Amino acid sequence: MMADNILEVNHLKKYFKTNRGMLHAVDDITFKLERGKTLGIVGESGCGKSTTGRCILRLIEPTDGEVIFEGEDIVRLSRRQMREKCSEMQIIFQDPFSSLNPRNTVMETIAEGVRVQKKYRTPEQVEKRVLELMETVGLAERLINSYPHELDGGRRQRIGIARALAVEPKLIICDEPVSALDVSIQAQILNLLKQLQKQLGLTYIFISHDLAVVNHISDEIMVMYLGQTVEKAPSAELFRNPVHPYTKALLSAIPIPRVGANKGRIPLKGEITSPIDPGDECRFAKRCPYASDVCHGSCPKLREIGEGHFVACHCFPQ
Amino acid sequence: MSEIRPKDTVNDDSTVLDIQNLTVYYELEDETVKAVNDISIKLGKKRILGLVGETGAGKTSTALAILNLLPNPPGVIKSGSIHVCGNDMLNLSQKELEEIRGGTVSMIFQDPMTSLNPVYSVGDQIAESIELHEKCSRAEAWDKAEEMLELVGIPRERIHEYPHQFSGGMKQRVVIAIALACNPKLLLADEPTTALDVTIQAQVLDMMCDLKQKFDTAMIFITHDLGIVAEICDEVAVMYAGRIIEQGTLEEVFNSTKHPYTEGLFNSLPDIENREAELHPIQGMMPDPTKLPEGCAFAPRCPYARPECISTPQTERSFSETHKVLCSAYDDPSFRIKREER
Amino acid sequence: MSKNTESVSRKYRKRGKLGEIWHHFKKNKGAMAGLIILIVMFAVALTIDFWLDQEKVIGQNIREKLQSPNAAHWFGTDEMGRDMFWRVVYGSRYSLAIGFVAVIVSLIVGVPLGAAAGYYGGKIEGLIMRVTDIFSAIPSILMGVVIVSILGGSTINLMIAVGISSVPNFVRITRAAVLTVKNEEYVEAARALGKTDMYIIFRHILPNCLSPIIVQTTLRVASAIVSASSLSFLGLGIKPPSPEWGALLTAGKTYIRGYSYLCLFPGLAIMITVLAFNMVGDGLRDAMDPKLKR
Repeated sequence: MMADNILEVNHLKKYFKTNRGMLHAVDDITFKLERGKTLGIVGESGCGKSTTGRCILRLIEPTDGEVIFEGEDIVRLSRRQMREKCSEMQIIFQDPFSSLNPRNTVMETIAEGVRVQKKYRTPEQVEKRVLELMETVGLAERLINSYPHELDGGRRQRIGIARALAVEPKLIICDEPVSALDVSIQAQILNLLKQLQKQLGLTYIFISHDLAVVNHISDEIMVMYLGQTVEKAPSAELFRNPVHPYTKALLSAIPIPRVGANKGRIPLKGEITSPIDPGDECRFAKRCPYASDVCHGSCPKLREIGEGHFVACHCFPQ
Repeated sequence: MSEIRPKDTVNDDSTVLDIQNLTVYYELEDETVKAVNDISIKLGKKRILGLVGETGAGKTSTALAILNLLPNPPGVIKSGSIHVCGNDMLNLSQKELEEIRGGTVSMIFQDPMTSLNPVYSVGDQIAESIELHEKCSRAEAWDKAEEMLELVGIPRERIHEYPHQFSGGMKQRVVIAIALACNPKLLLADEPTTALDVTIQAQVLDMMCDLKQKFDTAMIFITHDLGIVAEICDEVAVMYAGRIIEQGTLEEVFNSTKHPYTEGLFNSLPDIENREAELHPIQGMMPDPTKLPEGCAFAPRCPYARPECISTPQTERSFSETHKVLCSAYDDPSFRIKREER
Repeated sequence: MSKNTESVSRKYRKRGKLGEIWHHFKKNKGAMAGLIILIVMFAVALTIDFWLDQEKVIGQNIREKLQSPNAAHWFGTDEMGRDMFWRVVYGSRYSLAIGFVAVIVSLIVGVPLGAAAGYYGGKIEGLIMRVTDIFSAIPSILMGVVIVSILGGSTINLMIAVGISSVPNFVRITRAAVLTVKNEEYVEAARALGKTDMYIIFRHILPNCLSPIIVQTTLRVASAIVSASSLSFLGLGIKPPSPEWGALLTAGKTYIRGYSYLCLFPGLAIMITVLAFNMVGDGLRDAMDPKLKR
C-alpha cells in the first residue's frame, strides 16, 4: 500500500550570501510527510528549522531542491500560481505580538484570510465565517472588534491560528507557536492544535526548540543541526532509542520538572562549526565526544537503520 | 558609610536576604497596578530559591525591589522591609546603595545581547565592576577579570574581544562573570537562560551551580521553567498575581504540592516520558493586576474554588516549618488536591 | 440569517472606523483648536475673492505709509500705505494653497518611491536612493528655479517646484519606516495568504509608518511656504504686488529696524498656520493609532 504523502521535500537547499561567504542555512533536507500526521522539527537557534518552514511556503525562495505538495513541485510555480497554492498551506508564527497588524481588529485580521477563499463574497458571508472561525479557536464573540494590543498572548495566538485556518489549508507550518507563551496558556494552545488536527484532518509541520512540546504533538521528529538532518524517527522511537550523539546530548539537556530526574547529562564541549562555507566533514564533529578521523574526512549521509529511523553519523553502529 | 555592614561579617549570620511583607504598586495616572502583594522571603547562605510564575506575576518587580531599583515613578514600595546581609535596602542613601549593588548583591538579566555594552571589550566591562567595588588598581582589576573569565569557561586570551565576537551562551557567561566578579553574597538571576539553547542552557546551569559552591553565593533564580527549578534550586516560591501562593523546599513543593495553581502548572507541562498523556491546562488567564479581587486571585480559574474563595482573603497554612500555602480550601481538613491522591 | 449575523459585529461596535478616529480626535483639545484655525483660514482663503475688494489689498496710498497698528489699520500699513491686515488675510489665499499643494505633491511622489525602495530593496532601492541623493545635493532654491524655468512661472508650477524639492525628505523617511515594518511577521503572514505586494504595502506597511510621515508633512508645510517666498523673491512664481506671506516677510525685512510689525504679522501668520497643521497632524496620528486608545 502506498502511503498518502501530502508533502515531499527533496534536497532542499537555501544559501544566503554574506560578506564572508555562503551561509548554508538549509543544506540538503529531504523528508516525506504523510497526510494527517505531524512532523516535528527540532534544533537549536540557527539550525535552519524556521528557514526550512519558510522555504516550503516559498516565503523564502529556496536555492535548490524540490517541494512536492500533492504531487506538484511548487518551487517551479510562478508567483501567481503560488498565490493560488497559498490557500492550501499556511503558517502560524512564534510571536503573537508581531504576527498581528496592530492597526487591524480581530475581524479585519481573520477576514483577510477568509477572503482568500473566493466563495465568501458578501460582507455578511465573510462576517459569518469569521464568527465561525472565532468559535473554532475559542475566541469570544465580543472580541470581534478588539485590537491585538488589548488582548493577551494566548488570545492573540488564537487569532493567528484562526487567520491560518480561514483559508481552509491542508498543511499548516507551526513555527514555534507556543514558545512565547506562558506554560498554562501554552498547554491550552497545544490542546487546541491537536483538537483542530483531529477535527479538520490537518497536517502539521511543528517547528520548536522545546523537545517536550515537540514530543507531545508530533508523530515523527526530525532533529536538525546546522542546516542538516542528523536524525529522524517516529517520536517514541527517537526518545527511546536516540542514536546520533547530538540527539542524545539534546535529550539529556532537557530539564525535567521532577525532583532528582536530571542525571547523566552528556556535556557538549567545543566550538560550533560555522555555517558559512562549511567543509566536507560532519558538522557536529567539533563538539562530538565520539568524533574520529573519519568524521572530519567527509559529511555523513542519512541512512535508514530501523523502520522509519534515519540517522546521519559515521560512528553508528559502533 | 559606616552603616553598611562589611561583607565578611555576614558569616556569623546565615540569613542573606530577609524580605518582610513587601508590597509594590505601580501607580499610574488613573489606575494602580498591584504588582507585588505582601510577600515575605527568607534566604540563607548558599541556598538557591526558585521564584516561579507566569508573565506579570511580579517576579521581576520583586527582584528590582530588592535592589531598590524600581522605576520610580510609577513604581512605589508601599510597605515592607528588605534586608540584605543586614543592610536595610529601603533606608540607605543613593551612595550606599550603589556600593551594595554589584558588590553585595548583583543581578543577571534575561537578555545577554542587551546587557553588555557593545563598544567596550569584555575585559573592560568585568574590570570596571571590580575596580568600582573592590577599590583596587586597574592592573589588579584586569588580573581578576582574566581569572573570572576563565572561571566561567572562556579562554583568557579572549579578554580583549568585544561582545559581538561572542555567541549568545558566551555572552551570558560574561554577564555572569561580571555579576560574580565582586563575590556577591546574593545573586538575582532573572531568567538568565531563557534566551539560550537547551544544550547551552545546560552548560550555563552547571556552571552556576559550581560557582555557587565556590563563592558561597545565595541566589534567587527567577524562571517560568519548572524543569530548571527541579534541577538547581533548593527552595521554591510560586508567585501568582503578586502573591507567593506556595513556598517551601524543592521536595515539598514538587513532591507534595498543595496549591491548586502549582498543580495546574505541573499539569500544563507536556510529560516527556509519556507522550500520550493529555495536557490539562489551567482554564482562563491571569487576572488584570489593576483589578485584583478581595480574596484569592486564582479563584476564577481554580477547579476547586468555592464561592467564598473570591470574596474572602486567603488563609496561610503551614504544612511544615518551611512549607507554606496560601489557600482557603485547606480550612476543610479533608481537602486534598488531585495530584496528591496519585 | 444574514441579517442576524450582521448584527453581531455591530453589537460590539460603537462606531465605524472613521467615527472611531473622529471620536478620539475630538478629545484632543490642541488638535481641535488647530482644526478650527485651519477651517477658518481655509474658509477665508477660498471665499476672499467674493467679498474683499482687490483695491484694499493692492491699492497704494502713499499718504498713509508706514503707520503703526491702529484702529483703522489693525496691522499698520506698509511703505506703499497698503493695509497690512488685509494683505496678510489676502495672502492666506496664496500661502495656504502653496503649503498644502506643495506638500501633497511631495507626498504623492515621495511616499510611494520610499515605500518601493524600502519594500523591494536591492537594485530598485539602490536606484531610487541614489537619484534621491542627487536631488537632495542640489539646493532646493536652485532646483525650484530650474523647475519653474522649465515649466513656466505660474503659481501652480511654483507649487510643484516647491513640492518636488522636498520629495527626497519623504523618500528617506518613508523608506526608513518601511524597513522597520516590513520584517514584522504580519507582513509575512499576509504574503503567506497570497496577498499581492501592492495590497501588503498599502494595507499593512504604510498604515504602520504613518507617524513619521505625518510629522514630516506638518513640518514641511512651513518650509514650503518659506521656500515659495524665496522663489517669489527671485521673481519666479507669484508676482508682486500680490501679497503672499513669504513675500510680505521679505519685503518687510528692509524696514525691520523701524517698523518691525511689517515682519511680525506675516511671520505670526506663518507660525500659526504651521502650529495648526502640526497640532492637527499630531492629533490625527494619535487618533489613528489603536494602541493609544483607552
